[in-house]
Amino acid sequence: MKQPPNVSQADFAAALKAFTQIVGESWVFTSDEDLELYRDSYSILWGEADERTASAAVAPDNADQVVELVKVANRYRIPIYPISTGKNLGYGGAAPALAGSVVLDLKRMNRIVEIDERQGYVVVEPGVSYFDLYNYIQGRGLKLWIDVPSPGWGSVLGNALDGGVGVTLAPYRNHFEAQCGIEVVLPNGRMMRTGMGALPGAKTWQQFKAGFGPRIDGLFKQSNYGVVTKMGFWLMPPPENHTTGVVKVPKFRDLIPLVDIIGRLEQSKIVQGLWMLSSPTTGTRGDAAHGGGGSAVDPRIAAVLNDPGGVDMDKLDAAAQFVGVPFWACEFNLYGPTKLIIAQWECICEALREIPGAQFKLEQIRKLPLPAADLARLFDVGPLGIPSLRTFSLGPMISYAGADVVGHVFFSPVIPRTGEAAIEAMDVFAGIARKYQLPYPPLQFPSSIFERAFLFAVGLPVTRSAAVNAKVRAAFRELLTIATARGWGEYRTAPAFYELVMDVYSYNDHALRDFLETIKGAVDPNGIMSPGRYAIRARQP
Amino acid sequence: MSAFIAARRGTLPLVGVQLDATAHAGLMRVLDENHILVGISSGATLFCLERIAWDFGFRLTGRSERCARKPDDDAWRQVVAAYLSGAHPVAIHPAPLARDYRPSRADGTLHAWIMQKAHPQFRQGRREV
Repeated sequence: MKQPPNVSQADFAAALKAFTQIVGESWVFTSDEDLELYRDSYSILWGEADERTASAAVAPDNADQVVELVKVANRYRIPIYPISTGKNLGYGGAAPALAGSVVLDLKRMNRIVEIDERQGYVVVEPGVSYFDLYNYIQGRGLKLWIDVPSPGWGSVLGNALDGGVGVTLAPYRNHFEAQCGIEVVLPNGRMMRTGMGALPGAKTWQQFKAGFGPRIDGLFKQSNYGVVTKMGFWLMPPPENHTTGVVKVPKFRDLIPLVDIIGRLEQSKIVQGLWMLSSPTTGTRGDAAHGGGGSAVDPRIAAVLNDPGGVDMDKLDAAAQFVGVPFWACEFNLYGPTKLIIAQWECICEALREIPGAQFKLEQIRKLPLPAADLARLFDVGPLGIPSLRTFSLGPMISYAGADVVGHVFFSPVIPRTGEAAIEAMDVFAGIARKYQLPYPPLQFPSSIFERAFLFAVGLPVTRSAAVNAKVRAAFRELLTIATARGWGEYRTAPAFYELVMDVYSYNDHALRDFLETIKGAVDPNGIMSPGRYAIRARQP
Repeated sequence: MSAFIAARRGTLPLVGVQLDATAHAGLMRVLDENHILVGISSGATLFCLERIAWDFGFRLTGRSERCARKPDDDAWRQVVAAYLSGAHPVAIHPAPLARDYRPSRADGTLHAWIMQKAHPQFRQGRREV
């Protein structure tokens, strides 16, 4: 049996016995077969000595049991690692950040504690998935919509705590920003509620984020300061209609005014739905994180795209203009009453007509919900507030460096929301992809999933070959170095890279990390809570 | 293959599994109410289904490694028929399969597989508060 680090066999056995007394024998897992399920299927360290595997797993049924488990963990100095549903493959999955930790598996805690159609919020436990919440709402005919990530099988609460994002309207896409009110078991076993939840009998816990005094909810995002056992989220009323509108502009450099103008429309809240950038030159739509179907590419364009030395944008620009293919396409998701959609579209067209040669097409406005047959034909139903796993059907799996690809990790820097930065990032990351011969499309585009910055997610292949995975890790390190030098930081990363990424957030001799570790030392002096997560260590005073 | 499945429909309960939200409640019922599942799916679907089924106590105990390359692949059809007929021996210890699992390499290829429930169910229906 694997042991937690720095814990004697006797103490570990005593802790497991105490865990069993709290949750029952059925819910403590120590066999190799059971612990196999607590590996990250997409681990970039798979099968290596450094792979973060669990020594045991414990599955409580409720927050009171979590309190008792945390107290036992403190008594025996057992590192525990809470997971919600463990489905965030590539970002750790169900695996701990520190090898030998005991996974605190919260998926049995799957209660929808409260849902309020009138005020538009829900309170959930960690085990509630997007599928669960969607079906709960649909089953009761509630007039509410949820924002979902892709894929949508994960935990609502866990996705928010990990900094996850969705694809509908801007105020709801950043899932942590859409939360309101947290219940958390602190590392000393004390339960706390944030915001208005600190007021016993509060009537506005899910309606007023600020609370009284410092707003500390953010301390529980991407951190290791406690076990979040309940979380409130703002939900949106279901839009009456949906459609997409596509704007195409002819030239490569048109990207700069295109992004600027859309940015102004977003800042003034005229554009609220997700918009996706693509290039008709490639025959595909899609952003960096979500691919799509393709169409035939003109051979004169294909010759430029397939140049082994990389795509020369000036040549591609010239070829596209010669053939008459617009260089950029921008697809807007539009929601709401028909008159609002039409008004939004008119504003978009009016603003973007500044760009010579811009073309506009508004698709048919469809009343929601769409018929099931129509939904079945769509590749991605996320923009319609419906969770799915369709992203797993994205094209064939491929091999990399002679090894089967079994998954991916993302390098996910946040770059400025400008056309110049997008052009620079496309060039820089394509260069790294060529150097490492990564399976990478000829052009890759930034995603507008965040409100004021671009996300440029570079997918890196994960295999079961240690040698190939080491090569991918080397590519990651180079990407990080290059991005950091340009002032582009990652928003989220795989556990194997926590230390590397935290290390580059080094302003004023790592003042931020020092602050986080001072807090960690104060609230978790025994360092039992999610050690290693986001590279925040307990600092002793 | 469709004829084979149609013939078995009279003796075995057959369900179409979809992993989308709209079919989620039905999938939950299938996983909740059954102890052995035998099926055919793409590798990508099996990858997802297996992970969802874990929470209901299922473990993958057998999977055909031969993938159909073309519709008239007789050998593969025989493999699938063996699985669906229960002729394929169930593995004694399922863990190695989970450990060694690799998704199907090519979209559209199919696996035949068996899952058995032998572990505690994490998800026994969502509880009301």
